[in-house]
Amino acid sequence: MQESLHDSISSDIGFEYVFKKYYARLCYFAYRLVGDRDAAEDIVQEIFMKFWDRREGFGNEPSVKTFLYLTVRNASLNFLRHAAVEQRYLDDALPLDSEPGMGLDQLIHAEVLAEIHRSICELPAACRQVVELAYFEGLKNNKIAERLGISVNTVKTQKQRALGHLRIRLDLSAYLAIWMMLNR
Amino acid sequence: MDTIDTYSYQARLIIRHLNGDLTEKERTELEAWMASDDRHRRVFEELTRGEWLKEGLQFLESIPVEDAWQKVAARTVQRVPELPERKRRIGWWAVAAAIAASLFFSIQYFREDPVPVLKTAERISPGADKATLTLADGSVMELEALSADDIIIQGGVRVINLSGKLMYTGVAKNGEIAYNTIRTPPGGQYQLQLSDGTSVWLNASSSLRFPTTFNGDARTVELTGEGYFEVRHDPSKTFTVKLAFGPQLTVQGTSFNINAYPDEPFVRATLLDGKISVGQNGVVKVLVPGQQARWSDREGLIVADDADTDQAIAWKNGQFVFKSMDIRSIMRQISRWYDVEVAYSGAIGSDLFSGIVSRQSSLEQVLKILEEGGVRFRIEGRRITVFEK
Repeated sequence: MQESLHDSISSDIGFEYVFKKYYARLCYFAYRLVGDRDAAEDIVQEIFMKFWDRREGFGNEPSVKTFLYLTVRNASLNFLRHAAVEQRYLDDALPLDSEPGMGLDQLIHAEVLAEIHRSICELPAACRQVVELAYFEGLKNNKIAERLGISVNTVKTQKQRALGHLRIRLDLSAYLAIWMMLNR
Repeated sequence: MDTIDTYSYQARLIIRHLNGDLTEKERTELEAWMASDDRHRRVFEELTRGEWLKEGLQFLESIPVEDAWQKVAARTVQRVPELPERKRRIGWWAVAAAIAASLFFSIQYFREDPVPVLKTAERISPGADKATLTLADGSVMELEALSADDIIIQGGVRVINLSGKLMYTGVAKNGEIAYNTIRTPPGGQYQLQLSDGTSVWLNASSSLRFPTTFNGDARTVELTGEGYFEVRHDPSKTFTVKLAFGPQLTVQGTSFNINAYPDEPFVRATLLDGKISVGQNGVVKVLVPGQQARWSDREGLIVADDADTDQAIAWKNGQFVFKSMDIRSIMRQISRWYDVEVAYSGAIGSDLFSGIVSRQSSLEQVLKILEEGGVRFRIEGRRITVFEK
């Protein structure tokens, strides 16, 4: 039985769990804001140091999530302000403004992405293969069928099955908590 | 202006669009939302662009989480713990420097990042999907902390917790029967699907004790507070709801609402569909849809024909529906959903109120509407005092 996160946040196990679950998506979130992948990782690692110092103060996972996204957002904005005059704006990086709701779009992306990613990893093997070929390699159905030695119909069925799994795994309560924080 | 409701609802629509699930009505709503603000359209277009998903997933896959963990672990969990104070001799200058450093740090921190505040006294928000689950071995889990995670219970019964709904599937091995109890606090609500497919919605300050799997000829659960049931039809197994006090209800494949709060004057069972029998002390009444059984210690069991089913199940549909209701009955519902105390000052008339309000409204909004009916409120922290103008 899974240990209750409530008891574990202040223990080493809880900290490791939170890190491994949220690190990649927070890096994606920071990357969408600052446009620099290494800087994004540095920012997120520093935020986890802050979280480590504060880990006793959280009662549940949603409040941890809110804290992480909020501080990564603020740190990303600070990074942009202090960066050298010559800033490279990639297609994904946002122009600066101090709208309170800023970062919300990126957050929605990061959360939806992370949940989809998690769900894909948990799909049954045959299903996951089809999804990976379709998404990661961008193959069309007939090419997938060729590669795996199955029929095109089976490919379509596996895709439907994957969508069924994904539909029930996406968690919307995350959006509510973070929206509230960002709009206070 | 976006509210929490609309944004979350739109997010849901976008996901349904991605799954190819939108109804015509929903499609129109989604398009209207997108047309109302450029930012909305941008969010939608990004989310539905296949490229975004592919690039995003590739990005996630390429992040070296394990390496990053090693780096962070070295600076955190693997650090040698500090020696306890009494074993060190610290000069006064070191103490002063330490205090100055921590003050500096906390000032920096407060300036840049708002301290997360779990409870704010100024703003009383409506209830939410919150509950605890007590397993057969006595351990208690907070359901909101386990979003979208599986809980495997001993004995082969699998429980899934997703966004406010707890679902039981599977069959217990060796015919073991384990009982679980789900409890909602004031300001909480939750939905539950039992192993036979029966759905139960629990209102605030309520509980349901139930077996993880149904063996034998009967399905029996115990309810306190308020629950709305959609019972899966199974002619071979009657479904019984036991209450802590008052009548017992036996049902077959039906939809009904039971309101059994200890501070309400009556226990009320309202039947929407199907058939239920309500029994107390050997007296049994059978209800047809649209009827309501009321029970009180004083008057025993009465069946009323004119039940207002909308009012009875409004809570499950996310609304308060008041039809000629007195203020005290209304305030009892308010106190359970907003987790506030209610007191009365002076004489309050017996005026009746009618109205429909969303349960997602803030407390201030609901009280404002009630003030139009001639009462006034004073709010101090989580205590509301009601008085007449």
